[in-house]
Amino acid sequence: MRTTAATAALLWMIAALVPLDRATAATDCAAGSSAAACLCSGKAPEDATFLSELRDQAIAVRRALCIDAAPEEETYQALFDFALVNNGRWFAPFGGFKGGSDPLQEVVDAMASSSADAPFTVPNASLSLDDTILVGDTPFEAASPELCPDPGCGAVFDEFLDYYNYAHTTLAAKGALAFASSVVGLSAQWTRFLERSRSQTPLELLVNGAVHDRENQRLFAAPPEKQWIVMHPSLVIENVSDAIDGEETVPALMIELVGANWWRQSAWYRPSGASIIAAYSDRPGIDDVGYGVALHFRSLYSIAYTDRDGAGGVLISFDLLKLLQNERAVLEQLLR
Amino acid sequence: MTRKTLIVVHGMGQHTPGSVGAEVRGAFEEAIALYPSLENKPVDALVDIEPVGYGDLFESYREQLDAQDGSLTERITRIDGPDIRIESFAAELDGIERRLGRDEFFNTHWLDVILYRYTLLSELVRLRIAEALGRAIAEKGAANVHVLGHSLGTAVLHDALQKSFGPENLVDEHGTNHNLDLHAHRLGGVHMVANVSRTLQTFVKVGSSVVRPGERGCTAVFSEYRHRLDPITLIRPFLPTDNGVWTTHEIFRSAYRLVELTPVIATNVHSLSHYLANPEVHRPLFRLLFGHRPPVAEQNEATASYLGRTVGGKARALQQSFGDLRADPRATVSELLVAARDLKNLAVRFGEAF
Repeated sequence: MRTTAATAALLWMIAALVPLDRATAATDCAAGSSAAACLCSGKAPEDATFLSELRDQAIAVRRALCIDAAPEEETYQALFDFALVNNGRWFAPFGGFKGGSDPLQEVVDAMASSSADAPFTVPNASLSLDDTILVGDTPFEAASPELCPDPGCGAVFDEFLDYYNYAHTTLAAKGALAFASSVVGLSAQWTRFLERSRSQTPLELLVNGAVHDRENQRLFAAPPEKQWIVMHPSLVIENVSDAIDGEETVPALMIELVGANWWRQSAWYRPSGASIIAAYSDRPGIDDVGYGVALHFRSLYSIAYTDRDGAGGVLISFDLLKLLQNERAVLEQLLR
Repeated sequence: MTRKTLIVVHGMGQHTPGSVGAEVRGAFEEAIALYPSLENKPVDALVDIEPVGYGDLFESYREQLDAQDGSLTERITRIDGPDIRIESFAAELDGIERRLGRDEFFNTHWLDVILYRYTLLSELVRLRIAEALGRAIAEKGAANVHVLGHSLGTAVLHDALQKSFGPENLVDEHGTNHNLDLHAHRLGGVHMVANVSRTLQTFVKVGSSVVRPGERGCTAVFSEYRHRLDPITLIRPFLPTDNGVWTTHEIFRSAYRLVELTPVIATNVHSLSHYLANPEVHRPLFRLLFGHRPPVAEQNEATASYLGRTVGGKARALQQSFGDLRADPRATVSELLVAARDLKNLAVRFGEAF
């Protein structure tokens, strides 16, 4: 990549003639927004105390995106020009850096070895804990701090970082917005999972957490397609036709010993999961505990079959029962 | 100077973004008052504080358990009428859930740690932080974004950063990777207050993660703040060394700090506001966040004023309770929980909240 003094002068003139509006509107940096929507109604950097030319040129980089609506490669070129033109110059009045280098040299080197196809490799710059400028692994320290307006040159560095990062964000925002958009999509999936999956006891939350972690480890992962059911208690209504008269249909405690549920399965006629169950109810004449299988529908409704030493029972969950009639009325009727 | 964003991730206990924001603002306001050069500027004119909450996720799960437990137990009782066999069976069966439904220390503090460390809810917590991070970086530029984690929030923040910067763990259906980039999106600073990220580390060791300063890290600056009498920070502390492995010698010296504090102005030395009140904590933060570099005389006066608030009696009680504790690299999550309980009991004895 090359630039010319004329290009730099032109950028400077544009910046000087058409400053971005200082008045701000609310920025739209929500996931899914474009870089232009996010950045172009934002504030221009504050007026310069030391580096007014640098400020104008930073605004010119932003202008390439916001006013010229330039293609990405031209914005990239504008940032490259910013770094190239100011490299070795902006801090010269304050004595330059130790070793004669400049943070912008790191930027120029990175961009020269990069391409417009992979613009996010352009490094940003920050202040260190001892008031040096950091780019990657390199701290830049003032060679003659006595030439700065304050000890350590922190105020000048703050201003440089403000303007450089303003220009840099013009390119880097796109990647951050794409990232935000991806995580918002995943968050929505997890929220749906928590809303629609079968309720989980603490034990199930631990089991499903361990399984999910083992499968995904370092990924930012979508929620599991399947949830394991382990020792899950719930109340059901059970009918045992072999029970004595008046005791056929009673409430029972169902423990799902182990099972699985596919929470995205929402068709009412297709089971979303199944469990091996134990059921308890107190009836004269037959075993209190029976074992069987339950099918789940839409992650909420359950129907099961149990065997109590030869006596078959059919169970339905209260949630399913609620579909048919008022639960309280049923309970009162049964317990009367 | 662009107003920087400070994303704050809270610790265990009952917090909302509003309460965390208020705590940080309050602590900053008190600190600002120590420096005449800041002219009592409002906090919001200096820095954008963005708390990210996750307590509501845990709280709604607790409420869900409570509701289920109540309704299940009530129904089961009605199955058997006067016969209590099934009632005691049910009580045993869902005893854990019953315990979770009550407003106890277990619920408000321990359960947060357990739910984050061991369950599925943690991914949604990390995604929330990642979303805030992506938005702030897009708007301000990553160098203008600082993140601060407190207590459990340090582990949450660590994990969220590790996953956010990948590499290549956020690939869409077209094969495009959407992770944040270590160069273009390197944060201005990561600030770990009462860091427990090593105790709670899960999918990556804290010492080998991207949460470090320098070329292989996601942040320009990495600061840790630890109080010598805060027992929670003594459980498997993160103690990187300057051996050119974690980061280069130059970066270690200019971009990493472990600040160990000793003054006590309240029994709850673990609270975020107790940490932020200390000039050794807020001064480097203020410099990075809004370029505040007070003259040396002003710094000395602020420090003297702060030290005037120390309370010898509470410090002695803390010293007696925790002074003999030593950093234990083999300690586990349960020891962290016990330390939190002990500190809470001490704070309550002095009439403080925890």
